[in-house]
Amino acid sequence: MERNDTVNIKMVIPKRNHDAAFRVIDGEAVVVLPSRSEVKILSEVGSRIWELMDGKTTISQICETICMEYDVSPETALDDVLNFIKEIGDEGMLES
Amino acid sequence: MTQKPHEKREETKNAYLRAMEKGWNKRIPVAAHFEVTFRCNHDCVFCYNTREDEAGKTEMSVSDYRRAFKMVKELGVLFVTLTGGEPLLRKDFFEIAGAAKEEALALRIFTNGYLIDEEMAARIKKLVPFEVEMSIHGHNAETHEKVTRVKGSFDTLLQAVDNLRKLDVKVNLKSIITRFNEDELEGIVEIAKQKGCSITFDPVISPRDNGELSPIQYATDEEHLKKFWVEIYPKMRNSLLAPVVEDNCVWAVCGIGRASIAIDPYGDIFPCLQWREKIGNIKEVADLKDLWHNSAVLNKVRGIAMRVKEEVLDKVEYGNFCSYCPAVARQVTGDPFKLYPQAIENARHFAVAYETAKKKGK
Repeated sequence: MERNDTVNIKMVIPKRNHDAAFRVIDGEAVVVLPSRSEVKILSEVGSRIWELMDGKTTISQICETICMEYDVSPETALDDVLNFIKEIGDEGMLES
Repeated sequence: MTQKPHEKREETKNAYLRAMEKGWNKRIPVAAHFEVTFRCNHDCVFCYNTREDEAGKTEMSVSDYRRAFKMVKELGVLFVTLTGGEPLLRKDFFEIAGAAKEEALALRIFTNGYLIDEEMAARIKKLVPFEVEMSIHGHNAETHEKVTRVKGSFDTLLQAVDNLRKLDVKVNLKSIITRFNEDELEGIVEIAKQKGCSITFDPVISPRDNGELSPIQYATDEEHLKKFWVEIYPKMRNSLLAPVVEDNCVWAVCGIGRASIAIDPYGDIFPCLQWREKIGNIKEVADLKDLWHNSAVLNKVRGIAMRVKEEVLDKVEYGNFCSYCPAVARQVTGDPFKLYPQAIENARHFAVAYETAKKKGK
């Protein structure tokens, strides 16, 4: 990925699918996707990223929080967050 | 390899069970049942609702529900079921359901389907419910209407299912096994299959809310219970029988006081739909969390649910196959720790079917 692309993507604000219902129980997000009649349980880090996707927070800000809370490098955080967004986007969990 | 739809369903089911298990262990009620009205346009012969307490009471308003949904959400509830009576009889049903959606609660609707024409199906679709559940009492109008005592209710039900399925709304049909439909279960499964619905059978009839036992006279007999578990249930489950649960959960016979909560049309809160001992009123409660954790009634029923294994199930053959309900035991025998006939008969046939399937390697 070129530097400009990276900068641009970091400013994107990912949004949870507005029909998704979820609760974080014991550190894991249980996400219900009624339109697909599906229930998902996210990993601990995935749950934290999911919580941070409040429709106001950019990928860059999400990465900063993940860096601090999980003591990982900015590069690792960005890779993890982007992979997670791709994964849950494919599962219909994000607004397109 | 692309995931098959069947695998997706299993994944969802497992995630749902894990969510329930998490709530169970942490004592977070993941599900709340709201009976939004006791009024009904059917007159089912074995309905557990009694309407004797209605006089002088006012059903909760939409703003009451707004507040109630906020409170249960803060308590940890994820799934809200709107049931009745017949919930769609409420003129403000869609406002109530909309209020649940505003709180990002996953919505389930239990209805008899009588009012679901094409227009109403479209309004339900807009709510994006997780599931709509409808009762089917037979595989033809004669049987179904013997139970509902409403002429035309069978055709209306099937039309309602079609109206929802056409819009791709998930529908689960449910059927209590009774003397009326005990020879029609395969026909009911076939209807569900044709309509693209899931189907759930309940082999146990509950007494009425006031403890009156007359519904039990319609319970099926042992021969038909056996047929259900040995022949029909394995087919419905793709040849797999439900496993006997041996897990890391806090042991309790059911989720009473642990995984779910029930609220009646007037705001009265109960441990569950069957155990009708009031613990408070949601319109009056200032701190639902405090009530949930400290109510003497809830602490009592939690204790009962945890002691059932030692005091009842470990003492009888097939006890570990028993879907024992302390509330039904209390209604039928007067004692939540006293085994009632339906529970053990059902367990015995489930156990035999399970052992048979296991020997066959299924």
